[in-house]
Amino acid sequence: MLFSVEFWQLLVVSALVVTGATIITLLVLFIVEFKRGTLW
Amino acid sequence: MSNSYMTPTVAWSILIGLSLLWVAIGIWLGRKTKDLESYALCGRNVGLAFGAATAVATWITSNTTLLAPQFAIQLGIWGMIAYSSASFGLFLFAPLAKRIQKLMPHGFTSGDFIRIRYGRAVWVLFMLISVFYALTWLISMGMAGGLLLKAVANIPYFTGMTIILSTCVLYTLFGGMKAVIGTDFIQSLIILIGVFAIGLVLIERFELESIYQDISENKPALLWVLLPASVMAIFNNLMFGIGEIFHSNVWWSRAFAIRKGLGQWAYGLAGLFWIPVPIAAGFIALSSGVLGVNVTSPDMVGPLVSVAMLGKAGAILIFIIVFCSLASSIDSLLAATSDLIANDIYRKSLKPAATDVEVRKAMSISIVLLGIISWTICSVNKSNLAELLFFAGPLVGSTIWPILAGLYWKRATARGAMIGMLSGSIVGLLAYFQIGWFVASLIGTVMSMIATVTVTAVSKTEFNWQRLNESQVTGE
Repeated sequence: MLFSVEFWQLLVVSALVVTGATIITLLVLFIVEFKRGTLW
Repeated sequence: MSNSYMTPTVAWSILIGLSLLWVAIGIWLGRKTKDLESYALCGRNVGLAFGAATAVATWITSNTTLLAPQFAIQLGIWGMIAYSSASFGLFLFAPLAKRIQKLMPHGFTSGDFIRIRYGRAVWVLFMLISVFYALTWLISMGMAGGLLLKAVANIPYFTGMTIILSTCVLYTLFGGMKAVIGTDFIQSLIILIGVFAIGLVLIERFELESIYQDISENKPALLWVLLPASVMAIFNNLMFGIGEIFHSNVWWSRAFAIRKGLGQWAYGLAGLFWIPVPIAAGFIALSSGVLGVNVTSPDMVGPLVSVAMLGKAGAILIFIIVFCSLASSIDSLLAATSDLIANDIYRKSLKPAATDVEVRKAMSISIVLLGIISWTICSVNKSNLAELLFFAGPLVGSTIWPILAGLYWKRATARGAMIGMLSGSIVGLLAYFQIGWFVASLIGTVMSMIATVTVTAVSKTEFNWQRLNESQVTGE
């Protein structure tokens, strides 16, 4: 039995979406903490 | 590949440019680190952005960017998921980070914990496993650096390896943990943006269905729901990942460096951020068929696909990604292992009266020595150490339960920890040689769990958690 094409699509698309969201989250966190002076 | 897509001038410009950039950032970030705590642990005040990013960047090694694609073309969809399961180590370390910060507000290393919790004999065994693993990882990264820069940019192995190791030594030496964490943040963003960009271009150029169609026609095994070796690889990778993170001072030192109350959030976020990376990298590899890429060496499938798709830009992008993924792990290993040597061996064993200035000096010397040892071994032997890393799997797997029991179970004893680590290591190594790498960590961990839990269950002694807070015990 093979993984379905739908599972394949879901896996790849969600991986890319989460990667994109990660980049944005890291940048937003950086800006917020930089402004607050709490980076380190 | 490199000869056609990247001229020597471009390759050397990127290599020298990136090296100078990291060293300059390291020196700049380290200019205000005067005392030991700010040098070794960023003053225990790292925020969420840097805390999560450094964990992600350190966990994205050259193995992630190159071995994850290899896993995908050899073990299929399960291979991608198997590699991705290494993120569970980060997730599971999140509550541990909270516990560590609570129990050891003045702690420095994972060795500190083992020494206070279980005593000297277990500490010696733990240090042997920990330093062996750290050195193996460090040397494998140095070798991978030389081999990859040669493969991607045609830079001679010796030169590439020397430049990447000396760059990391220099900026870690000058900037300490601040330089490591600061550069990790930039490196993690570069890696994530690179992987994301290649994935997006692939999706834009080819329908996901056509890639699936190509795999199902030419390599259907990669889409099998039940591919036994892959399913075993999931559990093995899971245990190896958890063992690596639970025992290694790379992760403990970050738990001590992150601001109190943020440790669990930083590691939880890092786990979430890390999950998709091996899947995205694996997806790039599985597109090799539809692109008509002739994969001559499985570990080079990622670079081959990105070059086939993006030409010169792809070669440059993959070169930068590889450099960043190597540097982000090498710097962390240098900082955390030197910390372990200076704090645990020098201060706690050789010179208990050492001042902070002397410990910091010992750290600097350790960073340089670790660099020289790695460079020497990498110079005389350029085989791929991935095998040796898997060999270390059962050793680190055997530390999971002694650490867990030690952090949460008052009745956990030195005897249980010692038997757990020894039996797990021995049985795991037997499995490595008799069955294969893909079960060694799993078997080692299970053996260690049985031994640790059994001995702890019959133990009558109860540990006083206050002892872990050394400043209270010694009245500092």
